[in-house]
Amino acid sequence: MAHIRLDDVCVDLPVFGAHSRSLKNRIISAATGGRLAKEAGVTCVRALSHVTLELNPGDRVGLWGHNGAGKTTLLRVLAGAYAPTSGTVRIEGDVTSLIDLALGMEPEATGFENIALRLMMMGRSPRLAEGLAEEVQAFSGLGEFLDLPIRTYSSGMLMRLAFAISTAVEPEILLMDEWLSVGDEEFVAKAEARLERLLESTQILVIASHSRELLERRCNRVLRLEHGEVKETVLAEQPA
Amino acid sequence: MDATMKLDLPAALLDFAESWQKSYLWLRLGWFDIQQRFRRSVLGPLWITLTMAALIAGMGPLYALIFDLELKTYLPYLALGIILWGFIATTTVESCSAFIAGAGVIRQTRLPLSSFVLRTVWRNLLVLAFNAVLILVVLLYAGLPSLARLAEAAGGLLILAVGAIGSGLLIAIFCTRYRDMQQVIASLLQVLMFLTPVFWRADQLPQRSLLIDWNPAYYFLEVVRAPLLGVDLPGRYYEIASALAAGLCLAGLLLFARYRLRIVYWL
Repeated sequence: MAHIRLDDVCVDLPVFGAHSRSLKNRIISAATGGRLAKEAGVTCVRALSHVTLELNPGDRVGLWGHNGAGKTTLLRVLAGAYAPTSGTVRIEGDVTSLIDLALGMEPEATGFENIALRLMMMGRSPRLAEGLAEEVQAFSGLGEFLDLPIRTYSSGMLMRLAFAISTAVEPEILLMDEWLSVGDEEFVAKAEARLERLLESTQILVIASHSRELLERRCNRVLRLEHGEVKETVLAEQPA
Repeated sequence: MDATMKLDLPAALLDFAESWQKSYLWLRLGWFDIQQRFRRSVLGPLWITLTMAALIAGMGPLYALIFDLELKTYLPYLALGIILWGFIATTTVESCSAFIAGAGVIRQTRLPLSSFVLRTVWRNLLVLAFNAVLILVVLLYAGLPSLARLAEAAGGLLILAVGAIGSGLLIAIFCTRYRDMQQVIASLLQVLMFLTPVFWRADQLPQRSLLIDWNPAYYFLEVVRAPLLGVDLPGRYYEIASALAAGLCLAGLLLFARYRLRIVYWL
């Protein structure tokens, strides 16, 4: 059973200029002591502040807030990429992240190679990946183009491939940043249907969006983020 | 103060265990890196071998003349020296960007971080394999070592590879935090190449030098090179090289245990 629990989670993102990251400045500041050391100190941005959260199967959670409110950071914590600076995170279940579809795609590699590489990065063994690859190839509808390096693809074709790969695995926990809409008219309909199926089957869905309307339609819980804090939880009606 | 910076050795070891479990990932990606480099070239990765062959064929006769050494003994020495040094230097420099190159993936998904270091070392072992053809050719010309010596060299290679993983981890973490370090390391390695008996022989020095006794690169080089040349290397060399490799692994692992969760924030 998928389960997510965040306890008093804070994330402070250090902001490095070229300044603080060089060893020279570190040495100079050590030699001059006090004042300079303070100036050379790393500035931190509190991206998430004391977030406590428990998600259970059946939860359809919307994250809502302005730019920089912490939506993406929270998604990255849920993806297991960011460890919190303080607090604890427990994630049980297989996470699929649709935050960046083109993640880890290699422009020089062919469509076929990218399918295999990406599926492995998503944690599928080569044997499992091989089984899934056929379905991805068919769904992408790219046919012979899969033999070409993907740098030759149009951006539409690239998104089709990325979408087909990213949605090939049925997740237990699905993370999304905004609603996805890819490809031309014909593909959009196909993609929507596939996405709906994915949304249906996943145990937990977390989707970040600016659109209140979308979240209210899709989610049964909406969290409003402001300056990294979860301000209010709106319990929307169960999606029809 | 910061939960991402507490020393957690079991978690660091677990990261390696996961990399081992998912070895297909870095094995495949390392090979992919090599293919990538030579994509669209007709000969592909064979260029690795050819470039090295040209270098050795060009330098060998000239330096044999300068040093007044017989070509038959100098050529294999030089070939092994350049090829092995190439492995040490390139692995070290590329380790600097092991995490930085994978920034996009590391920031968004949960993959064992050690796999990025293993990918770098594996990639360079593959380059070494392409160059091994040349070693074979040169040794066929100069005389093959006995099987026992071959086994010694294999042991030496293992020590070298383990050392490369340790130093790779150490350097990758350090260079991700301090971006100047990559330049520093690249220039230091260049100097070190000339200070290490790669082109010249240790016995050409009028007396035993600190450059040799205190040069860690020399021990890593010798444990593979000497047996392949049929030289009887004192056991002390293997002990020192093993100790160095173990030391690098321990240092790397400790740094990794402390900063593993922090690395993503430095990218």
